[in-house]
Amino acid sequence: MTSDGLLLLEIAASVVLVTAWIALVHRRLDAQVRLYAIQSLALAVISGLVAYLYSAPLLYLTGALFAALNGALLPWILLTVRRELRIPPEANMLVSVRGSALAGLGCLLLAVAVVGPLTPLAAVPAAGLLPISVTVVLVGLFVTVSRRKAFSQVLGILVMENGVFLAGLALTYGLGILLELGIAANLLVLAIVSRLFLHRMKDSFDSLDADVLRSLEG
Amino acid sequence: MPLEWTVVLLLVPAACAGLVEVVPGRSAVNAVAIAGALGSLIAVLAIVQQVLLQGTATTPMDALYVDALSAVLLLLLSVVGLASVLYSVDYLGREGSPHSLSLPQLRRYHAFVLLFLFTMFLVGEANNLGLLWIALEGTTLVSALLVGFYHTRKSIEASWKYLVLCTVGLVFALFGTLLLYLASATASGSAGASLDWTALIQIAPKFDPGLVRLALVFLFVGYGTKAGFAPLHTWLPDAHSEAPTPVSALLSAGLLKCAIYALLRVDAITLRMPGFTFATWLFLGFGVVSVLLAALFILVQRDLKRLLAYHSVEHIGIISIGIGFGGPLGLFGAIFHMVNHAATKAALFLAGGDLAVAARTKDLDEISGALTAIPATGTVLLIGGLALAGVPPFSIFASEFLIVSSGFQAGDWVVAVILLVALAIVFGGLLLHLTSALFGPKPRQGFPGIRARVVGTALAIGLLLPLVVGLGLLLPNPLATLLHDAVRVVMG
Repeated sequence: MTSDGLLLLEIAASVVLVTAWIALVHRRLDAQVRLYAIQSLALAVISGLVAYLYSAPLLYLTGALFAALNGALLPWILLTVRRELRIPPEANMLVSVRGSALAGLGCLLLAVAVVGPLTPLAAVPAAGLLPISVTVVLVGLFVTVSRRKAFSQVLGILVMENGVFLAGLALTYGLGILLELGIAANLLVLAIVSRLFLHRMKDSFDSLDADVLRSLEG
Repeated sequence: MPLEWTVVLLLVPAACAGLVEVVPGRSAVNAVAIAGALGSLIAVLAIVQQVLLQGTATTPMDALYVDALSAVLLLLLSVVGLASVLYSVDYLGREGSPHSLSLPQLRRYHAFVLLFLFTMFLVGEANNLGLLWIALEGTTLVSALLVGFYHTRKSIEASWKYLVLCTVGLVFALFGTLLLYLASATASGSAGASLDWTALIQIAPKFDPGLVRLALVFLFVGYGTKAGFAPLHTWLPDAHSEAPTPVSALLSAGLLKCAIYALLRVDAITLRMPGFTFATWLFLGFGVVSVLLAALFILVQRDLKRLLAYHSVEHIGIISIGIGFGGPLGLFGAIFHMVNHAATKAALFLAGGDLAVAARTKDLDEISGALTAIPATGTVLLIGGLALAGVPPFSIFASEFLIVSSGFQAGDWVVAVILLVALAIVFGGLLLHLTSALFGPKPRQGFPGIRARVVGTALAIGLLLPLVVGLGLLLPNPLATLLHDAVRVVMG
C-alpha cells in the first residue's frame, strides 16, 4: 500500500515538473493558465498523499485549500482578466521557444546542483521532491523575467509560489495550516491587486507589455 | 484579563481603516485617520513601557512577541506613521490642498495608509518567522496600491515594478524561511520543530551550518530586495519618487526598516551558531555595494525625491555595514541609525514635498533661493540635509560615528575606510545639490505655489525635528536602555 502511495507521489511530482516545462514553451496564455491549474491540482494530490503516507492529517486540509484556491479560483481570475482586457492570446516571449526549453533544462540542472546535496540531510522522507520544487521556482522566475506581458509576469510569480509550496511539503510537511492560510490569503490579494493594475495599465497605456514601462531610469 | 497592548496596536489601525470608509465628510475622515495613527503611537508607548519594565510584551503562547528590538521598530514606525498622516491631511486631505483628493479617494487613501501601518506593526510583533513573512508580503501588496495612487503612467509603472520585484524577492525569502524551518526540524530531531523565533533562538547552536548558509542566501536576496540593498534596489527610486509624498516618507523611513529588522532577527539566530560568520559577510558585502552605488547616483541626481531615495539606499547600506561590523558598538550604532535615519528622512521627504509644492517642480536645477522664499521649510531642509550628510551635532552623525568606530575596533579597516570615502562623496554631493536650491537668488515673483494652511505639516515636522537634532546631543535614558536591550536581544 505504502509503495503504491510512493509511486503515486512520484507520478504527481512528475506532473508538477512536466506542466512547468510545457508552460514554459507553450505560446498560448490560456493554455499556460490551465497548465498552472493542473500543476496546482497535482500539488494538492501530493499534499493529500503526504498526509496519508506520513500521518499528517492537517495536510488534507492544506491540500483542499490549495486545490480550491490555486487549482480553481486563481486560474479562473486569470482567465477572466485575459478576456476582460482582451489580452492577445499569444505569449510575447523575449526568448524563443527553443531557448526557453533549454532554459528549463538549465533550471533543472541548477536546482539539482544547489539542493541535491541537501536531500540526505532532511529529516522528512519525502525530501526527494526538493530538486523538483526548486526547478519549478526557477522556471517561474524565468517566465517572470523573460515575458513581455505583465500578465505572464503574474503567472510566473504564481508558478514560483507553487514551487515553494512543494518545497514546504517535501521539507517540513508544509508550514502548518495557519501559515498556509495566511500565504493563501496573500496570494489571493496579489491576484486581485494585479488585476487592478492590469486594468489601470490598459487604461493608461493601451498596452500590457511591460516594455512600455520604461520611462523611469537612473 | 489585562489589556494586551500588543493586540490593541493591531486593532486600532485596522478598525480605523474600516471607519474611514463609513464616517461622513472630509473632516471626520481626516480625524479618524489621525486618531488611528495617534492611537497606535499611544499603544506603542504602552508596549515600550512594558518592555522596559518586564523585558517583553507578549500574548498567550507568544503568538505576538515584542522585545526591545521590536519595540525600537514599533516606536519608529508609529512616530513616522503619525507624522505622515498629519502631513497627509494638509497635503491631500482638505479641499484646496495642493494634491486634494476627492472624498471617496481620500477614504481609500487613509484606509490603505492605516492598513499599511497595520501590516508593518505586524512585522514588528510577529514571533513566528512565517507570520513575519506574511506580514512583509502584506506590506508590499498594500503599499503598491499607495505607490500607484495617482494613476499616472509613471506611478503605474513604478508600482508595477515594485509589486513584481518585491514579490519575486519575497518568494525567495519564503524559500529561505522554509530552509530555516528545515534546519530547526533537523536540529530538534522530531515533532518539536517550530518557526517561532523564541524557539529557533534556543536551538540555534545545533543548526547545520551548510543549511543555514543556503537559507541566508535566499533570505538576503528576498528581504534585501525589500530593504533596498544595491543591486536589488532598482524598484526603490521609482516607488519613492512616484508615490504621494507622505507615502514616500513611510516607505523610506518605515518599510525599509521592516525588511532590515527581519534580517536582524535572522542575524540574531546565526550569531548563536558557534564560528558561523557567513551572515557577517553578507551584511558587509551588500552594505559596501549599496553605499558605493548610492554615492555615485547621488552625485548625478537632479530630482529631489529620487535624490532622497538614493540616500535611503546609502543609509540602508550604512546600517547593514554596522550590523556586519557587529559587536555591541556596531549593533548599537546600526539600530540607533535605523531610528535616526527614519526621523531625518521622513522630515526631509515632508519638507521636500512642501518645497516641491511651493516651487511647482521636483527638479533641483530649477529651484533656488528656498531659504528666503519659504524660510520655515527652507530651514528644515537645511537642518535635515546637513543631518543626512552626517554633519555633527545631528543624530545621524552620532550613529555613523559609532558604526565607523566599531569597524576600526573590529579591525575591518578596509570596509571602514570604504565607508568613510563613500560618506565623503555623499557629503559633497548633497551640499552641491542643496546649496543651489536653498541659497542662491530667490525668484523675482517668489515661489508660485505657497500653501496657506500648514498646521498638520508643522505638527508632523515638529514631531520629527527634535529627534533629528536632539538625539545627536542627548540620548534620553529610556531610549538608551531600549537600544542597549535591543543589542542584547541580537547578541544573546
